[in-house]
Amino acid sequence: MPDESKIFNFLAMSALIFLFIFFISLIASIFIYVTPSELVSSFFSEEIAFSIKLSMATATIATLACAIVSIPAAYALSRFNFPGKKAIDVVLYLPIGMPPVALGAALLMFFGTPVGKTVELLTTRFVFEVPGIILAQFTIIGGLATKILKSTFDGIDPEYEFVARTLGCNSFQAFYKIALPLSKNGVITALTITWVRALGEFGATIMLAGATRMKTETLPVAIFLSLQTADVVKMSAVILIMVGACLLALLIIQKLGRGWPEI
Amino acid sequence: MIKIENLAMRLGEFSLKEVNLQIEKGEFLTILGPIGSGKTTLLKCIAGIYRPERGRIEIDGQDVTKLPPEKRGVGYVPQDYKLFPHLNVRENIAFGLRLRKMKDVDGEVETISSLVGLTPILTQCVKCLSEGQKQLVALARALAIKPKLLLLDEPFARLDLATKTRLQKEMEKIHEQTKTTAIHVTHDFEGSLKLGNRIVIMENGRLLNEPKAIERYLEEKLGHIPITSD
Repeated sequence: MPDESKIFNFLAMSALIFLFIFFISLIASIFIYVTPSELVSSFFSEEIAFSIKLSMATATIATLACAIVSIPAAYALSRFNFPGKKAIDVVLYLPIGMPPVALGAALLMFFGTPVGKTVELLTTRFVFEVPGIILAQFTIIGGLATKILKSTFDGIDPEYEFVARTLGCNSFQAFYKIALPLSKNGVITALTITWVRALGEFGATIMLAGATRMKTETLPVAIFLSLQTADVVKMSAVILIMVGACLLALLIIQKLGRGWPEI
Repeated sequence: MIKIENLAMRLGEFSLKEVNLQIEKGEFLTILGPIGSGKTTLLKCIAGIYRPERGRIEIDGQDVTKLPPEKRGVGYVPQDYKLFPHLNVRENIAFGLRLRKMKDVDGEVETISSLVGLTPILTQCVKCLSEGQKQLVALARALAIKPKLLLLDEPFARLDLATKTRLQKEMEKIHEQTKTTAIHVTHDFEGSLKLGNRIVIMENGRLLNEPKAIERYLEEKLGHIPITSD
């Protein structure tokens, strides 16, 4: 009779190796079409520099905006009981489950309504403009960040805050003096994941902000435009930049994976 | 003086049923009862962590039933201490003092630390401490704010017998010196008899505080009437 454990272990390891080879092959295939020197010169082109700056800036602003909204929202979702909590929880899943392009189309339609037009009048133009990129990224990452942050707060025993309250903290002080420092690593991890997600956002961005060269040309939009013009070198350079950003983010997440141990 | 009148609350399947209790100033009361009898729920109601459905809690003549925890003047030592892991021993003890914007926080910390014997370990991180030391830090943190009432939730539950015996004596000594009114809840029938001025019993969310009922209960559980109970 064959050793079932050995067969299972072999199959599990085979699946893992298959996935590893699959993703490595994808990245390696870039180097088939371009030489390293072509890639390096492409990295320093004006257009790619613009895309990097625009993507970094918009993803960072969207992530900061997301932190301002999602951290307290996730805390409320984790700690408070209120009517409609389950409904809110479900709605927050929508941006995670829906295609980004559909959300982008919804945003575009919103700015076609009188309310949307008033918002643009009172603030700034979003449609086919850079603020539209930030809004599209925020729309995609807001729910995701809130969900990840909620899990972080769920992992912290509320008894810490209860003790802090008896020592004199009001609920806000218990949040920022206790819950927030205890969830620091989780918050940084969540924001890193959302930053990378914002950096790679394409569907909603192209619907709301369009794909105008050197205007709303984020890194994913640059890939799309390069593909349209069959500029393989530029496309490869942008893909490698995005792979680098992802690896950097993963390093940060791995470094901060562990939070404060419970005492 | 602490007065609890007709306190009732429901928590899922469990309910506290019309709890009435009076504790004199400086008294050390032990609430004894099996796990799940409602001792911690009662403590959390007194601390303001849970909001009771009915009843009244009075601390030193002030009705605190609807006050938030930070305005009750209650020190709370939870069962698993809940020391703040991002702060060292000194910062844990000073936490409540800093919130009160006291002038001599360091002096106050030194005083309370020497009272509970923590002076040599003030700069240590809390995760490096033994269970007994953690318990003392939690006690010092709660006592530092000079609470009107100290709530101790199974403070010895995680300690080995030798440490428990030593810390029970320490606790007695500290209470002698501070005279802080205290409620200590425990499920440890034998251990509870060594601590405090008075014992009441909690069972199924009800409080037995009639001396005869307590004697009957303890006799049933322990096989004898302890001399320390009223």
